[in-house]
Amino acid sequence: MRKYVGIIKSGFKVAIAYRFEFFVTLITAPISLIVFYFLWKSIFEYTGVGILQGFTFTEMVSYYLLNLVVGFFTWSRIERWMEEDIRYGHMIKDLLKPVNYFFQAFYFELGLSALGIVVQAIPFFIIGLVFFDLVMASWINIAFFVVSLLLAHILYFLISYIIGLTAFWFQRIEGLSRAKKPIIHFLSGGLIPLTFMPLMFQDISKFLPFQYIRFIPISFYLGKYELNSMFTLLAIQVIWVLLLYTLAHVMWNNAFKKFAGAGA
Amino acid sequence: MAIIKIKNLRKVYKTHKREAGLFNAVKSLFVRHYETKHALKGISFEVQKGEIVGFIGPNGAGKSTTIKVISGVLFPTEGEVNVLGFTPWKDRVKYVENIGVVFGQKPQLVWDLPPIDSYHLNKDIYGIPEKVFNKRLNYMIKLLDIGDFIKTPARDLSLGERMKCKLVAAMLHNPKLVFLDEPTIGLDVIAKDKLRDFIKDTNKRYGTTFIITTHDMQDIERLCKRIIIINHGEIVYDGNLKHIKSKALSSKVLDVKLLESKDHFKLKGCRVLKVGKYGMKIKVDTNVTSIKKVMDYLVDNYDFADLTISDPPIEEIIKKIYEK
Repeated sequence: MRKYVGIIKSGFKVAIAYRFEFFVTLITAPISLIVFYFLWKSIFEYTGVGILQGFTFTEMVSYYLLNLVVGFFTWSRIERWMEEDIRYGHMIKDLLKPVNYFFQAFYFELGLSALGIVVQAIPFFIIGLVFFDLVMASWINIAFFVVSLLLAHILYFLISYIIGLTAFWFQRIEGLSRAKKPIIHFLSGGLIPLTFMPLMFQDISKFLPFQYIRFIPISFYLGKYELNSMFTLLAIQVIWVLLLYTLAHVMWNNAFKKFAGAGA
Repeated sequence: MAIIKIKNLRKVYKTHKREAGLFNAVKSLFVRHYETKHALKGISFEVQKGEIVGFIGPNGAGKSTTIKVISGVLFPTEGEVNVLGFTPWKDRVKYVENIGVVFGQKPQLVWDLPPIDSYHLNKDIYGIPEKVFNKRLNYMIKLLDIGDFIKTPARDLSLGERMKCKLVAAMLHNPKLVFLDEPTIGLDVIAKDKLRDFIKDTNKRYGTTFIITTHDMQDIERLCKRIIIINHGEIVYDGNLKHIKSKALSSKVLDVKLLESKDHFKLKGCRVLKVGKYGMKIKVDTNVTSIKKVMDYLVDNYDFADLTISDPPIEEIIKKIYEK
């Protein structure tokens, strides 16, 4: 365990070393919130309806606020680090350490995210409670939200890690990496709640991992599901984590053989 | 006690090749010519605990390949490798706890952080107790003289500074076995000296075994009793450094300082390398003639002030072996 705490610490230190980037998000994150606030305000006023696709205006604002908070937990750029390490053969430095590569990557990024979570996600949550009519959910919903959020974090990491592993075969994965962010953002409900999508889209989404990254945790908080459905959805989320972890594991074994076979 | 046992190690790579030019680049999208390269053609050797072994050979001879196989990051095609009781690439995570590796050409510190942070990371990863860590770190800081820059981000350090810091990172957990792949590359004379002293000292104090690949023969002469020379994927020499000198040495170099200006030095088995007004350098082939004969000839014909007899530099010996 001490190993991984050490890795988290070093990730945290790297995040601080890049504090400029950190300050930029400190400014850009509230801007997107303000934009969505006024956009939906005018939509609700224009249409004159109280509830749009199951959302009242206050809930809609809460949705984007939680979306912002969840965003600090669900991001990863591990594939960019991996691509570089693989292409230039620098992965050797990690392979020479007595740690499992997957966990070392995971905890390193956890350290990277920690700064944003502590200094931004939590304050934004409090700001929401105080200024944006964000309702404090019931403790059951909060419990589901938190568990689902942690799983969402792992899910996002796994997807990025798997994309990163493809660099063993493709060398350059910049395109894939660039496409990843907007695609996941859209499919996970980061742009617009998935209830606004056609029914077929929503049905397909249930069987894809993406909605479990943003839409499901947020809906848990907002109390959009019955207890039974929450358990089912959480189970599906767990299954996705296990599936992707297995895939990553199999890919890594093949990749290591390829890497170690070709000679770094 | 042998801590490294290698038997009949072979490594075959498959690489693809293409001719220069745009057309060939496009063509290679569809048709690829693969070529097999025999990097190691069945090498065997053993290393005893506490040895410092120089592993040398020309570029592309298979040095790095061997180091990578023994350090567990490369699979061999065939052969048996047993290091400290492990098969390196099978039991990687457990095995690498026992070794330290420095690749001169690859970054090994956390790039955005000062080396001291990398050291603390290693402290946690290898589970080094705080007290031991501080003691070892201070000892190494003093010996390598790196106190001034371990708090500067690794990316801002010079090549030599980074090399020294890398060495410390690889040695903090006091590994039993250390591989250094070109550790003195790009270092100045003083830094090289410090590094060599450090290696010698660690070897004496802890009985650490070192395997060093280098192109700098000074490293070898200062550090290693035993050398392994590898060329074209095969071991061409494995043994004592002194022995190879006497075996390969069929010549001596004579440096003569003259009191008078004289020319026409002519003797069978001798070649004049350099001649100045008051001195000359002569290479003597000891298979053809003897030093005594040359001396007699000199005494008879010249008035000289000083005379030194020396072996040709080790580089020349190695070059000879490479060219075989």
